[in-house]
Amino acid sequence: MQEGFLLMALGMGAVFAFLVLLIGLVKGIAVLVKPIAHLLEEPAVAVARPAAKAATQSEDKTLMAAAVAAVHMHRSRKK
Amino acid sequence: MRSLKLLLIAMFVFVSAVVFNTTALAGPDATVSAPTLSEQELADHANNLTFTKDIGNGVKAVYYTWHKPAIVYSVSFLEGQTYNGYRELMILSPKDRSKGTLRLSAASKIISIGKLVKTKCQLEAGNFLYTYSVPTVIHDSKEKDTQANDLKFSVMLTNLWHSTGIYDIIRTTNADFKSNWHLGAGRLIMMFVGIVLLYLAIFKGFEPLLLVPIGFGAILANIPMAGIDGPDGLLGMVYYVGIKTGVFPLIIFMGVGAMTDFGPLIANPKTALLGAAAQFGIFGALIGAVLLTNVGWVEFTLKEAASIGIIGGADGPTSIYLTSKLAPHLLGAIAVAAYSYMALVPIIQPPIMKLFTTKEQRKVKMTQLRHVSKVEKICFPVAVTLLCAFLLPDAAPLIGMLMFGNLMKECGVVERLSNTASNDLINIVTIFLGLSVGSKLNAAAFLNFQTLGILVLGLAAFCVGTGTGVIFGQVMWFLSGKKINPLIGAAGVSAVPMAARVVNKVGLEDNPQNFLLMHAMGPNVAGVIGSAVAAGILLNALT
Repeated sequence: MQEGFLLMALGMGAVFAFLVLLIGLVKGIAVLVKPIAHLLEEPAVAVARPAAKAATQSEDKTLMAAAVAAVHMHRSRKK
Repeated sequence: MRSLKLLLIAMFVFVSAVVFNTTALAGPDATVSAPTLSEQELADHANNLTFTKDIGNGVKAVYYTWHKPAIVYSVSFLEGQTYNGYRELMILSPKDRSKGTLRLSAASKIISIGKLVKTKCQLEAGNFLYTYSVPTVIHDSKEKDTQANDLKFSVMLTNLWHSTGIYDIIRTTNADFKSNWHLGAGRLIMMFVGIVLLYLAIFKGFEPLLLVPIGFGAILANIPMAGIDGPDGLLGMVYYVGIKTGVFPLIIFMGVGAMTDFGPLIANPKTALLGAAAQFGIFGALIGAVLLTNVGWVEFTLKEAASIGIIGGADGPTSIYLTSKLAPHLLGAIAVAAYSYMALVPIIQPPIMKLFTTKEQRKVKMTQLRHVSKVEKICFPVAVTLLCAFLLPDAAPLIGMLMFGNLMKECGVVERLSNTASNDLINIVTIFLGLSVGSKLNAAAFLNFQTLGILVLGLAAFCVGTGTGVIFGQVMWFLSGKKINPLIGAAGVSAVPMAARVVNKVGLEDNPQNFLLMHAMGPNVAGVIGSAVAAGILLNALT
């Protein structure tokens, strides 16, 4: 039993520590790459379009859902 | 027409069975018989499993000497054959000892095999297993076959009957049902379990990509006498190459990385904490397993408990990776539980999410995520790999492969590689992973109270993970000044992208204009990293 709780403390501690460091890392990267962030942007849009298909698809879905919701609201207001 | 076809098939089956029987199985009768062991020799080795004795002319005989009887689970060697070292010969289950595999320590020629060395037979102390000699040279040249086999119809028919699955199941079920049932009737039950898995996958849409191969693998592996899951069988070899070594789950993880967009996590990194909180499910189930052992309902060792807990990580490859390292005998049950519950996420999660949140909280709208530049997305996988390398090398195989896949996707210059990793390669590996996991579904390992415990604890792990994720979501809701919707905490239990979709759906129920999908993807992908870290810790602590 004690071993179980020990593992839990150790494991959760490690998971939280790792992800907290990850947050710091991501924030650090965001600051560090700011001066060069524009570098890949322009060509990236043209080159990476087929690869980014999955992402745009789900965005399309969200857009579509938003549009449907808007129409729905509009209609219900009319009544 | 149809009956003719059936007749042809039946004839083909008969003929091929007879040919198989006369060529492969009909070895020469044991010409070298081994002397029985003396009382003294037996007494000396009563606490060892086997004893090897030199019986002259360079021939050695191996005896079973453990002082309690053993049941032969499987036999996979033939008389007159020469095998390499480490080749599996048979699996024994001695009373009061763990089930074990007997292997050759060095290349040997098997000269004769004892009469009792047959599947499902019972061995007593002093029983002779086999004789062998150690050849100095191995060759494969054979004499020309001059002796005509005199085939008799009656013999052929008997042999044919003896080679059918029905005969094998009847023989096993008749002989000592209590200790042998899982080798005979148990196979039938496991084939039925395989069919149930196929039904769930095909008609109910439960993770079909995995449960179809797993279900069919279970059927194949339980075919009597075919030995498809044995050391020379297809699934046995695939299991050895891909799962025992941990290669398959890692390749799948690479594919997952090539399919995952870490953008939402990079845009709002603090949601990673939700992915960490949901990992409580893993350790909650681990403690649950230890508790069940303490109460005395089901016996689990700490390694087994850890493998069960990882179901709460809601991540198939991670579960399979950790279980294959810590408790391979539970692999079938744990994989089935993990994938079944992942399919049930839309049913398990919503009630728990609603229990821990108020209607007002569920309506909270989150601000739109900022744009993430490509450079950031490229730096992310490299940085995470380095972080893992410095802090937790035990999780490096999992996280390293995940991040490598992601780098291939984001860098945009190796589209061919990233397409292969996320399509063809992951599909090929999934087929073999599913089949070989299914082949571990045998009656002895699956039809027991441990499996029941695993199913209950797995469900508990999902519930606890969802609960702690949402509760931590509450904390962040409070700390952020009511700007974070606590619902997204539920997505912390990985299960990408199912859990995030569930969050989106529950959010829409209370506020039809609240789209939480992208916000939930942050904790969702952080959950993948979190469960890989947890797996690394468990591996480190328990091996």
